[in-house]
Amino acid sequence: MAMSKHGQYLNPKKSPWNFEYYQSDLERRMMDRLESDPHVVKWMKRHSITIPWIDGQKHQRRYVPDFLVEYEDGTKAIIEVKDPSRVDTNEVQRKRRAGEMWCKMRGMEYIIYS
Amino acid sequence: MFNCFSRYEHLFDDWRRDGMPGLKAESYQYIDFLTAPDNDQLPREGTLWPHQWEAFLRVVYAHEILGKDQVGANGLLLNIVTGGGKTAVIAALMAWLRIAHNIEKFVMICPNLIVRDRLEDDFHKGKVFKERDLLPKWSSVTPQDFVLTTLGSGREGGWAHLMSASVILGNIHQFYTSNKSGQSNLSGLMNGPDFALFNDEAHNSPAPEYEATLQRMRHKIVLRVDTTATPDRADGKAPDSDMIYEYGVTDALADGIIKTPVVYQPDIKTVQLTYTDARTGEKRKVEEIDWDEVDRRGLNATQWVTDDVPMRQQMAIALRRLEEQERRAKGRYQPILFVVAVCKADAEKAANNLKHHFKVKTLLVTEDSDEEDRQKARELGKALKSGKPYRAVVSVLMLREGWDVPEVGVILLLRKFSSKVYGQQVIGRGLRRVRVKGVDPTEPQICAVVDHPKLEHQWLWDIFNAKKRTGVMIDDQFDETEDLPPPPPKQKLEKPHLVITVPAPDPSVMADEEFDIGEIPPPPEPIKNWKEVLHSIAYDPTVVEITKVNVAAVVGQELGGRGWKTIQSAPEDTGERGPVGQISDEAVREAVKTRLLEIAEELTVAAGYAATFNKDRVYSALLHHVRAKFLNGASLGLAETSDVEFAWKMLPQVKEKVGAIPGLVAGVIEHGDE
Repeated sequence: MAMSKHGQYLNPKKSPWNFEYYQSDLERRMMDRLESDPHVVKWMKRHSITIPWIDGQKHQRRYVPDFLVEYEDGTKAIIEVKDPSRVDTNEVQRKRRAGEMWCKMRGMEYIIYS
Repeated sequence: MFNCFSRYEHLFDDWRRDGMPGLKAESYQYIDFLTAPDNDQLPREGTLWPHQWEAFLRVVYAHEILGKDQVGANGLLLNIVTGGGKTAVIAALMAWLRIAHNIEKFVMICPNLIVRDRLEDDFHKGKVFKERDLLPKWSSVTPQDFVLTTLGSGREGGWAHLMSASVILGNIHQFYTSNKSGQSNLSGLMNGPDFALFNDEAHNSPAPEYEATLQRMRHKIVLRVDTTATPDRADGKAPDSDMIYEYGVTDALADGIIKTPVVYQPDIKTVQLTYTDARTGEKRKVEEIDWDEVDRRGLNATQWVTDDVPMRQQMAIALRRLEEQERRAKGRYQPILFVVAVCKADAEKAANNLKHHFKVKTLLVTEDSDEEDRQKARELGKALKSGKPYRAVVSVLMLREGWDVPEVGVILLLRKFSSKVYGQQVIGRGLRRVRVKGVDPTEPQICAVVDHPKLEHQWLWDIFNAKKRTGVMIDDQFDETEDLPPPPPKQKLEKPHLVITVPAPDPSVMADEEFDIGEIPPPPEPIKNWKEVLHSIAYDPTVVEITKVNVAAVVGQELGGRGWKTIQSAPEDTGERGPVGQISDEAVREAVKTRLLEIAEELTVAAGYAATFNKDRVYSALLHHVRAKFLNGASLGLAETSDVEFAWKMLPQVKEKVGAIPGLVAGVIEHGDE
């Protein structure tokens, strides 16, 4: 049975929530990184953003991006963490384009970490 | 959908702490009436629940303090989980609007009869206002002031009732200008006073006519509040209102507002597969294989829950869970097994199995069921008093939003969900807590969901924030006195100043990339002689069926807990295989037709065409194809039963083989019968 590493990231200093849920080890490590990065002032995992994208069958769908982040200079960004083995799939590429567009329209940055 | 309120969360907090400056005097007075006497941040006991109170205050703040130019130009949206009590929030808002804003007319829009009946019940003679103590004496407004009229119920008398009623309950179709009575209702409404609109299950609203109707009403609408548990629909569309409050599954679990879902899956060791010639019924090969090898055999995921043997095994597991739930209920209510099938034929087969093989009193509800059976479905929970309660209900997708029978204690999934929305809605049916006499509100309750690992539903359990439990092994069945799981911790917005506000989109940036949807290879050339190509497809009549599943154990996963655990030994083999699982001749014919229509739609979409205008052609071509290949040229209605069954078994191959030839479906659509 597939086991993914779920859990709660307790008492984050830069997120408004008392804890944030993570669904994978990659996400948990990103939370550590955001907490310790001096340039990051705020981050949210639970942010209720959904980004519309169009799949291979030209159907409109929506996905929930991983992190919403604000830097010390006021820049805002969507950060996705991706398993390196899955970075190049067509689906990820399509979501990435949609995410980039969504961010561009809002003057935000779109970053994929793998 | 983005929570538009998060940017105001900080200000909202300050505002509450400072004693809510800027409110109308009457609003302040009404909020004070609902506030707990000893803590001005909490609702008074017996009125709203804390999350309903939070939702209510955000609407008041958005409407009176922020105003429509800041948030909710088209309306406000409350995203509240199924079972979270949306009705009480609507009632409190009505009371506030009536008392503080002199609004005397309220329109409630609901998507279907089942939701309508529930709302009608809640608002009948102002019931919800009385039960939740929402009307202060000093206001001189009484529950009787909220006179309810339901459109289309046969009890209303057109305009006169529309004008005299205070609360109007109806379906959006009853205000469409495309029909006479809709025109009449709409003009009646538009010639009356200003009103507030409550749009329940609002994820249904992004349809052109629906939105147009809401737009027509717009200048009369003082305030529109949408409620839904799933604002983002399966097709990616969302209502045009602004979401200002989100109370999700995990929040409700933490607060003990809903039952804890626990997922059960069989742990399978070996599987026996039987290969049969679908035409002659002759057995070609029987093989026993290891579970790990099974994926290489090209089985369809749903065979794990629809082939006779595994289906019965899943049922046996589900019935064990039902017995456990019955012991927990201690005769105070009748827990119900809810079986979700993918099509009518499967539903019928499942119902027959439950009725005749397992001897369980079962109700079957499909789109063809008459009003009497639907009525029974709505009142399942109340049937205990009559002495012969149903223990199971089998349905396709009929019983979804709005069908709220809290007694649903076990859900058996005989289908694979690929859409987040449907999956959540179906699980939502089991999450409403049983609140009957003798059941303490703090008594732990669970909803058991019987799933199969091959359906790959982990993503669905992730929505419920399934965490893995490494807990104790429990033999056999749960003891009814066994401590049920404690709720997960509550995720609280403790530091609103850390909320990140997302800038509004700049429409000028739309640019040329707007419709760039990535590199899609050019579509294949539509095949001109598609008839020949289609006819040249050859089929292998060998079909594989799962005929024996060696289950080692059943494992359970408590959502919100910490892992899978083996909770019981495998259920007994279900014994002799009779014809009890058989479905009627009529249902097979119906199933072939329904499935062919679905395949036509799927192939049309996969070929890059709009389903609505083109699937008929594809369906017609496929139907001729199936007649020629499997039915000896006879029509579906007149073909031999054995041939129809053969065709039914071959349909997965039809879809696969027709879909695999580039340009074939496009040829059918482009060249047609020319």
